Amino acid sequence: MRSLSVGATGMYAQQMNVEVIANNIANMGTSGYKRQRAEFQDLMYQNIRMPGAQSASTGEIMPSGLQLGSGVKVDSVTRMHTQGTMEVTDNSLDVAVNGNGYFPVQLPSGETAYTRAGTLKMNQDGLMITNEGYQLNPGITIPPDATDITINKNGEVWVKLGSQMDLQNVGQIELTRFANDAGLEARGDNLFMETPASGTAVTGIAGEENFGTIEQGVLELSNVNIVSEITKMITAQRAYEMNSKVIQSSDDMMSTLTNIR
Amino acid sequence: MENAGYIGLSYQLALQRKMDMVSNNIANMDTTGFKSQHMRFKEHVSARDAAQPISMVSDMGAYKNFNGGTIISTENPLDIALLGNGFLQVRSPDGGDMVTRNGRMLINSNNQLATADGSLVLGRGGQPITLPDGETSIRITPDGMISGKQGQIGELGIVSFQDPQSLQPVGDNMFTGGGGPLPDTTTRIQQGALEGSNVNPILEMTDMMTVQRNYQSVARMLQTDHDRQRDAIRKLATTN
Repeated sequence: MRSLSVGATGMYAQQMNVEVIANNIANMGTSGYKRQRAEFQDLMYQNIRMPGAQSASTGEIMPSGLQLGSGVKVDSVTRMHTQGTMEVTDNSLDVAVNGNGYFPVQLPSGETAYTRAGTLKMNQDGLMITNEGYQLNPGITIPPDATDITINKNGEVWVKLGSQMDLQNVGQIELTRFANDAGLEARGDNLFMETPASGTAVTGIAGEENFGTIEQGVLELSNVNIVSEITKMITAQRAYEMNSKVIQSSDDMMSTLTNIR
Repeated sequence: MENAGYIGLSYQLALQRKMDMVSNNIANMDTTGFKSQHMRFKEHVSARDAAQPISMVSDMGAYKNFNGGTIISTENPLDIALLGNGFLQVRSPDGGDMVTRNGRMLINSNNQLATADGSLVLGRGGQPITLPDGETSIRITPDGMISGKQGQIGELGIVSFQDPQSLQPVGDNMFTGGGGPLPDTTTRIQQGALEGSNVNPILEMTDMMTVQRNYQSVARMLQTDHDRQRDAIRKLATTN
């Protein structure tokens, strides 16, 4: 019976769905995390009767055919790149993008990765780095005698040097945009990589057209909506149960068959 | 004289296929753009003996329920939900033209709009839609116009069918056939949302229970018929 294996594909797909939801819930407090969604597709169909075929006895044309499907699969897991919750931290090196854009960071391999997690730090040379120690691209160095760091909405970094009255511009935090954020590849550590599906990175200045603004002293948390995740988990669990009922029901039908004498 | 057995058999065969169909609907409860299928049974009169016509049952076909599914907001600029009877036209990597209600689009390496399995999304003229290099702000209006920073990019080729029942599902949320696609202007497009499955789980579960119970009653009927024949042989053909 086909329905046995169809039910099994359904259970397997719902299991992956729960795994995706579990990862969202686990990362509800991760800054810059973007929630994911499992996307389902139906599997191929077997043509039992083509639409438009003639019925043998009367010659009438069948208005609709008969195609039996073979179940479901998880086709992909897409990421929702919507704005996460903003948390005011008052830490001068915490920055968040309000709107579109990613901070480009330089990986040790020379590649550029992109992140929304703006928990910046300084290393021993005064370079601005992320939590994992990757420097911003282009790199920004804060002089050792700088006392006050101000990052404005356009991403310009101003510092107060020693006893000077005027602020000095020491760099510019650039932002990057993609045509299709959902096509970015997640690297872990809140980092994303450019792929052919995301389109090429477009670099720009915060506050310009189509780019968000940079907010200092604010962190972007995850965009996981815990209520919707829990609801989705309940739905997934019920769907899992329904698919297991399909298997049970098919099994009962087969046992009915074997009990005919 | 053995008609009872054959009638029961015809119903059991039909019920098994119905079960397969119901299980496929339940498995695809969360499939984007999925349209549920429902079995149609038909009385099949076997008129060998005109005085005593026998009615068997045949699963003459399935109809697809093309009602809209739930709209799920995703806020991805390349996700669209179709509100209405239209379908999105796509061209599979092997060149076949297909239609789908799954409006999840991506950008391929040639900067063309494509579906997740690599099929190209077609525009109004049947041509793939190519985005300008570096385009980052895509807007899709309710009538299917795609525009970006530098102005209009293209128009989604939304089509509908005179007889959507003749569409055949081929998996991956795609349909083929359906006769000539007609340009559709009444379907509205909602950007940043996807159309979920239109399967009604409660209906499917009740359908499944009915199938299972009917299957059992046919089996019981076959058993009774079998007992009757056995009794008849025992009683009538007693030998001393």
